[in-house]
Amino acid sequence: MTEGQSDTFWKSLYIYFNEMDFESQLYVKKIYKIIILTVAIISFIIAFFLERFSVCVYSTIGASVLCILVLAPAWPMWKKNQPNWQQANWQKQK
Amino acid sequence: MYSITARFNQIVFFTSWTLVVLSLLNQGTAYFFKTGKPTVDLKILSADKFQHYKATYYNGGATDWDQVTFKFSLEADFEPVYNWNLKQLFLYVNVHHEHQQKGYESDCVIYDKIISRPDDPSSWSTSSKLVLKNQRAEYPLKDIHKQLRNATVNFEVWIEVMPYVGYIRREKLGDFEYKMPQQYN
Repeated sequence: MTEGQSDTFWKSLYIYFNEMDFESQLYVKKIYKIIILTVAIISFIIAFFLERFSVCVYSTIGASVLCILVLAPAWPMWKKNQPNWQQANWQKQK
Repeated sequence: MYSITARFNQIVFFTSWTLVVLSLLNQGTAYFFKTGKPTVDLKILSADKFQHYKATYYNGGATDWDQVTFKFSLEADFEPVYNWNLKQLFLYVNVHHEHQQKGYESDCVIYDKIISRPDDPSSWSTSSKLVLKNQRAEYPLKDIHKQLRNATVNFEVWIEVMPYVGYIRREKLGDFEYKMPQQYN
């Protein structure tokens, strides 16, 4: 990680949005399926009674876009449970 | 889920599979809505420009032919086939004609129209009604056997029902017989 920070601005930006802590990864894996399926089922029932299929399609795509914006980048709220890595012991490796 | 691209990929593909399942459910539930046969009424008003055409070098014809253009009025109501899976209807008027002497059969489409279904169900009852008054046929009826005089031709009104998901269904709505004039005009 110390070498990565000395790289260019864009590389550090990519690392910032790429790296999520382990518990958040598990949480995101569960929550995006729940959000999209819930929106799909509810909007399908509403669309069935309105007889307008576009209601269902657009709300499912909207839920998906919301999930991509919130869950895909590693925002600061997905970095709260950082693991405590052991300090590198450079003496032993000699 | 270890990188931003992996999370993006999973969400996008889960959404597309959800949409596939939803559209299959759409097709499956389309049969719960009311169905029936559309009503249609066709009246042939006149047979114009009924003439014998000679094959010349300039019209590229190999044989002489008879040609006639029709005028008709059509009233139809397609609300029985409207449901939330329907994209559009393709209406066409086909002329079926059997030759008296040699027994040839010929089919010729003289008119066609695309009827799109609006998304809002409150406007279905007005948009599903088609009224054509004194409509000239788009295409003439030609016969290279020159046996159209005094023949009985059969006008068939067909629709093709084109859904969003599912197979395209073709349905004949009605037969309307018409006696051709005895002489060229």
